[in-house]
Amino acid sequence: MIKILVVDDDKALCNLLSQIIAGMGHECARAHTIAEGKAAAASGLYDIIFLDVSLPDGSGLDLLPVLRRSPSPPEVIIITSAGDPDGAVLAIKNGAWDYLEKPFRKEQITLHISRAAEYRRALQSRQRPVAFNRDRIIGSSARINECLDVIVQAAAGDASVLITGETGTGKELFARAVHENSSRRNGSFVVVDCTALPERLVESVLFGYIKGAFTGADRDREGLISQAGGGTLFLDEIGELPLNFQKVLLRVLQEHRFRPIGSKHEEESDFRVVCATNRDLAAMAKKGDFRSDLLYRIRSVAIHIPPLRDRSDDIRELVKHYVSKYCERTSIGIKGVAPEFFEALIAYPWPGNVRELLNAIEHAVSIARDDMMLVPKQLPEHIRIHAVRASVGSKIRKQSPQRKTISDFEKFPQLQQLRDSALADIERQYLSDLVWQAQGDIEKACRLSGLARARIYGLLKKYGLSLRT
Amino acid sequence: MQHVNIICFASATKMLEKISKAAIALSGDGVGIELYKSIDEVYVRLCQPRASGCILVLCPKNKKETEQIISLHDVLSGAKIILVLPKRDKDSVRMAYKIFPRFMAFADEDFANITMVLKKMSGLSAEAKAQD
Repeated sequence: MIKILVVDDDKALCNLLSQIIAGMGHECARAHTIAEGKAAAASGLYDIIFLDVSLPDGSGLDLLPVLRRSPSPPEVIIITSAGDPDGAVLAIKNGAWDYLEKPFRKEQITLHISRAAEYRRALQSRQRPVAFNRDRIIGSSARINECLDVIVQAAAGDASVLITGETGTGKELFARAVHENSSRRNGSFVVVDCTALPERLVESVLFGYIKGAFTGADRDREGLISQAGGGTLFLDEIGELPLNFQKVLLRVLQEHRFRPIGSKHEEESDFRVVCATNRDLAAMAKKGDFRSDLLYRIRSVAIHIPPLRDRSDDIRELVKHYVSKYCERTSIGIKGVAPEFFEALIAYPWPGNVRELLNAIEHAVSIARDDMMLVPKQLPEHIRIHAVRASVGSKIRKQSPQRKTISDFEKFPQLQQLRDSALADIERQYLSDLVWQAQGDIEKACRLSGLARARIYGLLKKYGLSLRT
Repeated sequence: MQHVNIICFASATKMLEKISKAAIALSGDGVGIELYKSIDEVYVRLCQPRASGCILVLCPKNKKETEQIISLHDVLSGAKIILVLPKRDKDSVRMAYKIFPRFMAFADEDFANITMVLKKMSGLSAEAKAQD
């Protein structure tokens, strides 16, 4: 038996779904608003949630990411009466199980429940093994746990793995985790740094060569593909591989055979391939910059490592781990961390991801030396400036009134009336943001907005704002 | 351009000369070179903060030094490693992969390839610049 929550303001539909669910031997609970649904889902008891898009207090699509971020995310089936292809795409992108349009047949409902329940059972039976080696992967956010779940799956098999993620997210650590938790862990983990290999060395480094194959080949040399035999070949930043070599590589990945340069004979190597990239290979393939057949070959299992800004829940854990590590390494006493230090780090968007965070922590620890506590003052200046701006910006935004909706008018408004009100709201919000961005500098405000000085002052007066933040 | 530190280790004087020649060809223009003759010195250096674009060129002279480098794994993390091995046998190569090098070469080779890889890693080659 599984537990299912139905979030829909249509009580007749809730009754109908409850009957179907009970008839299948499962337990059903109901909620009629986003607030009720959120509260019920917070218990973490539900395996499946049917979520209506149009609810009295907002769109169900806004609740979806919240549900998916929970520690044990349920499978969410979006239901709506309106045909909305963009909403459907958004729902699937945010991790919905599927998207159902009303009216639907009983068979559709039972089929979705059966499949989602089966998937949940399979997922639960695939819990991370107790001996799972996560090495230096720090964090316990839902996003990281999702990645680790895929790693467990990948490590159990031998399929090729493609790891994507922005620079600095730690793709190599995840690749090593696949290797270390696989049956190939006793073989070598061979890194091919595609960004560091000059084009003219690619073939000789990967395939090796025999003596006399070219000028300078004064003895045989084994290539990386051969050295990866029994282990894992990790092609880091595979998007940088020259296009003309991709065809050759595809054949090697298909047949696990290659010919060292100058040799008359092919050799075999039993390796597993894991690739990583910070580039959008699908988009590159569309433009003809990456072979689509190679992409299909390397993407049997796909793991996307989220940027640090999308898993800020992990920042505290990362900070604690690395502060103690750096203090120990530099033989200085362990330091405490002030709450404002964490706040400054959480407010920063981390374009360089975990790598940038580690540099900032290392910087702070080295500056703190004899201080007992890490405080924002020890952080790199650009991070402190961002924290101050974010704090000022949020204060200004908090002061800005909420945008009016139709229900805020005493009677149903005329279109022109609604249009004027919406325009005023947008102008007020824009001016607030402009004030924050310009930091009191009228020249900067003119440059950013493209407005004349007099027009800016006029608008500021109209909305009761001042250039001073 | 981002500052890049190339930290070289070789306890054998000849090897240190050879690797420093390969690295010094790149010095200046945002690239700094540091040379170390003992594992202890390089360990102390790696415990200090280093630029994120740090490249290590490590040339152990024997199996014992390779093992010592493996034991430094904690301070090696995050650095791009070029490893120059003293021997070509399978055991030495297999052991060397525990250091997770991003390029491997052998002590008896011409170091022209290492210079090319260093250039590309430090963003100095025309190829690397074209990718920026």
